[in-house]
Amino acid sequence: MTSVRAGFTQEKHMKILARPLVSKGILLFQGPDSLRWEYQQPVQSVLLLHNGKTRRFVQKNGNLVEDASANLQSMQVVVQEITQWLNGRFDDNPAFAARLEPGRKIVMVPRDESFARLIQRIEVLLSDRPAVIKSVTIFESEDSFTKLDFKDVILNQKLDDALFRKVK
Amino acid sequence: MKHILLFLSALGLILSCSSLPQVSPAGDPADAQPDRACRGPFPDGDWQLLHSIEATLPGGKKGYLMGLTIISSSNRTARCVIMTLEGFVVFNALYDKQITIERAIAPFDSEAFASGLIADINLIFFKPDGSILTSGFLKSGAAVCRYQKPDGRMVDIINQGEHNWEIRQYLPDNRLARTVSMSAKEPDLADRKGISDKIELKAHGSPGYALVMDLVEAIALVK
Repeated sequence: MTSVRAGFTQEKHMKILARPLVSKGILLFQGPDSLRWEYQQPVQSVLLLHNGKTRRFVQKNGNLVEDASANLQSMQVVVQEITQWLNGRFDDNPAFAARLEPGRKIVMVPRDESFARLIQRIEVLLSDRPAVIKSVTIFESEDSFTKLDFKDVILNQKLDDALFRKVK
Repeated sequence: MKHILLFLSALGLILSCSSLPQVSPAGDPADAQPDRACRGPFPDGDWQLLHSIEATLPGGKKGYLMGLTIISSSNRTARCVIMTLEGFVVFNALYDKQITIERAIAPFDSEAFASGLIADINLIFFKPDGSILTSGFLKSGAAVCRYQKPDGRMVDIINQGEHNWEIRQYLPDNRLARTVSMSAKEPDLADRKGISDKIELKAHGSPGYALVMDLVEAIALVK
């Protein structure tokens, strides 16, 4: 697989919420390690990973401006992890212990206790279509998790390199 | 030397006192505007509010976050959750007379940050505790209601037009500590019960900071 283009719906679940927070956007991946994670609603923002560098842009007064001070450490871990999964590598990161469970579910648990306080575990559900991820759920705790459902997945489409370097 | 010190003390007194503006009583006792200012722009009932936040930190550095606030005006309780734009929770605390921090990731993990944040949330979303000292009009013509908090600090609630409000909080020595500007885009806010679309908070003094909060979602909570 060389590239992925997919739409996603993200639901943030917390015990305290009257209803989950819902966001929608698109995800683009170009092997080996370029990623564009774009939220289109309710608040537009774009996270770019290219040549090992993560940048975030956010909509402000109708323009996308770079969030230069972003606390991207946690997000860098997540986006780099996603690029590895999209490359089909679920056990490359030594920070996680990965296991395959019935129903095409891969569960990744942080090995380090301090990291586990940030992310308890990540569950990746594979589609019955080869090389396609159906959903990713990131558990911060049992009461707080984020679920990303992917749809309209297109594989191996030629993607412009500029999509991973620039927001527009 | 003695004269210089006396002069500087007097100057300091004049400068600090000049920060608290004069309130002129309403000419017409039936004028309802000062009473409206006393009710303020505070949400009534229980709400789940989601804001996108632009934070300007000391030195001018900007950061962007999402803020989830669950408030109850009757109980004066607040749940405050700060997330990255992607939904990763970096701070989660409950305020119910005291602060209980449930999750705090650096740089949001200091007690000073938590208590400052809860104080700002109290200022933005709850009518000041304490008593009404006076109400009337400022020199600008805006209706104002002045509260005195139990710790001696003054809070002015200023109505600058139909849906435009300003809250000013002063220190016990009358220096301006916080300014909160609130505005609403929609002409009819009857069903929103005082929830603003845009909130801008400025913390004066050192270290100063500013927050611009744009409302993304407001959900009325039914108990």
